[in-house]
Amino acid sequence: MDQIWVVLEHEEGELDDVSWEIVAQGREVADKLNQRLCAVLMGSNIAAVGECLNHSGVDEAYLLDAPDLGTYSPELYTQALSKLIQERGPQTVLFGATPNGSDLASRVAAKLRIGLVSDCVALDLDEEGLLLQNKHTHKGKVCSTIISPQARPQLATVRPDTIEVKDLHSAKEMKVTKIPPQLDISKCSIKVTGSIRIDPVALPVEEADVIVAGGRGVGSGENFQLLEDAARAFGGTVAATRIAIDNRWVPRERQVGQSGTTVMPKLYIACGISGASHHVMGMKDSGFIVAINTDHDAPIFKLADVGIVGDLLHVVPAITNEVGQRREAREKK
Amino acid sequence: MNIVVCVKQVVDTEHLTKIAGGNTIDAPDLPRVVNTCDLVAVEEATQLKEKGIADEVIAVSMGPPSAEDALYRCLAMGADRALLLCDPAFEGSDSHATAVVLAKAISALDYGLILCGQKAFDTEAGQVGYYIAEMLAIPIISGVVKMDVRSDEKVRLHRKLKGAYRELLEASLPALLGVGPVLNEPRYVSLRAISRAKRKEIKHYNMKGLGLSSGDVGQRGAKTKVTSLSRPRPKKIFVPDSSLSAMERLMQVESGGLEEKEGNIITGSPQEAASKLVQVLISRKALRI
Repeated sequence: MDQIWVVLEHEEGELDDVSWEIVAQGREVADKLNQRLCAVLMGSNIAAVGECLNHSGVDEAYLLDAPDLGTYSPELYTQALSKLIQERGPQTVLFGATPNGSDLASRVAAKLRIGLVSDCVALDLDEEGLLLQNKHTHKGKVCSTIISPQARPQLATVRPDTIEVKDLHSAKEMKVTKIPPQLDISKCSIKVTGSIRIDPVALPVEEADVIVAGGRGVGSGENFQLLEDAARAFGGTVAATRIAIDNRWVPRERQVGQSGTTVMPKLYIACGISGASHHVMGMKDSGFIVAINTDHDAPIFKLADVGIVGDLLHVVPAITNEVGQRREAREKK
Repeated sequence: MNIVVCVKQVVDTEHLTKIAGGNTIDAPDLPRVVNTCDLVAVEEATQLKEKGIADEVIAVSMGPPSAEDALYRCLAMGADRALLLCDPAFEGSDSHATAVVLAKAISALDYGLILCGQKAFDTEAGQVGYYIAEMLAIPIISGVVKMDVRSDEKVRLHRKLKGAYRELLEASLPALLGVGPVLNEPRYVSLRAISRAKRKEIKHYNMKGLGLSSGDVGQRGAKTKVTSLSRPRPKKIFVPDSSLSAMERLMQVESGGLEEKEGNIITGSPQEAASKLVQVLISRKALRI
């Protein structure tokens, strides 16, 4: 039976959100084409990660377990995965469009001289069962549908947060196949020497997953320090409305709204922002919106998932404190 | 050490208002520009030359004759010479077929480093560099946000990971690097500099000149095919409910017609409110502790 594969990413023994999303997407395609859904897991000591996939609609898991695969190594991961693909010949392989997922997919496509459609937002099938890979191009102004007519497997990376994961539960027992990868370290010309975390507050607003934004209610540039502290605690950055920019409380490149940048972070905390449409247009698609304002009639509360009526000068430090304490408590465990 | 920079001329999306239909953006009248990240690559190469690390900077582009304009800009920025790979047979190329042409042209050059933009903003594929590196059998790293070339043998890099994380890498040279937009700020070039650059000659190569055959390039060399293009879902236009009073309608228009969420208002002292909020954020997976 033909196979569709999903290449999964995991961290600290848990699968990433995007991995569950491509499992869901893969199951859908597999059902339509009557194919087997197989998951590929790479890493070191990953048997437990494989187990958490059981009963989630995956027919078989391939575990490529080796100490050298403990962290992402571009060349070793490519060697291991390309070899497995060549041996078992899946029809389709899906990856999450994360930094590492995209890199690995691109390398495998190049090594096997096959096509790849990156950053897909939707996958569909045509009458012949070819994968219709839809992605945004031209800075989001065009939606392109792309196929891989001949070369197999069809490779696609799927943009995170575009697929809704419904209940994946299935009674079927998943088969687990352990494959000791044969790796040739002598062929490596790239050395990963480590990773660092830069100060998240320095991230451009478009890149931040969490934004703590301030408006007129913040009152002064000095008070923005409170927002910066909160942003740091959340691993995010600071943004502002036009009025706060015009008052020079915050540099101009941090402006969110119609005359600034449009952002879609996972979490947006609006502090002292009334919610004028000029600002709202630039942040309304954020994943989760928190509003903090002294005026309980402020329009921003209508848009917020959670609102706090109160003085941000007291509430924001309390939030920073709370997050810090919980982190500390967890680290002690 | 010589540096080869791959550049692409793209339609300026700012002016893209309609799609002709079918599987190409048929927009001969639209202004064309050099892909943003490619300018960053040219700037980086020029800076390395100014520091005395690079000897010669060679800009290479595959495209129609009009792509000369893109190459003149590269020359004006500081590239020493430019190659245009141009043949009607190249039309319909995808990332793979484009890489076949570029790799063939680059293989005839003496290079220590190849720089590309990490992706072009028209196709947003980011794949050409990977194929070129594989064809030339050299290491590739894409998503480079910081780089440090000290010698002819090694380059140290930062690659962008999720969020604020950066991976630190080392690669042996020659290598291909896909550079991100934050690496540097491309210099401004005046019209005068561009017209001066036009005195330089751009070397043209066609399919035969490169020693390729029609089976390698264009649609026949492609691994993927665009079947259709469409506009993304049009934004919903908000029409206020006519049964409402003028004042209410005005207020709706003012708010942009956004749907109201059933927001939960958290009450209590700042400490209590903060504690409740953090609990909600954790349970809704908006925050990870």
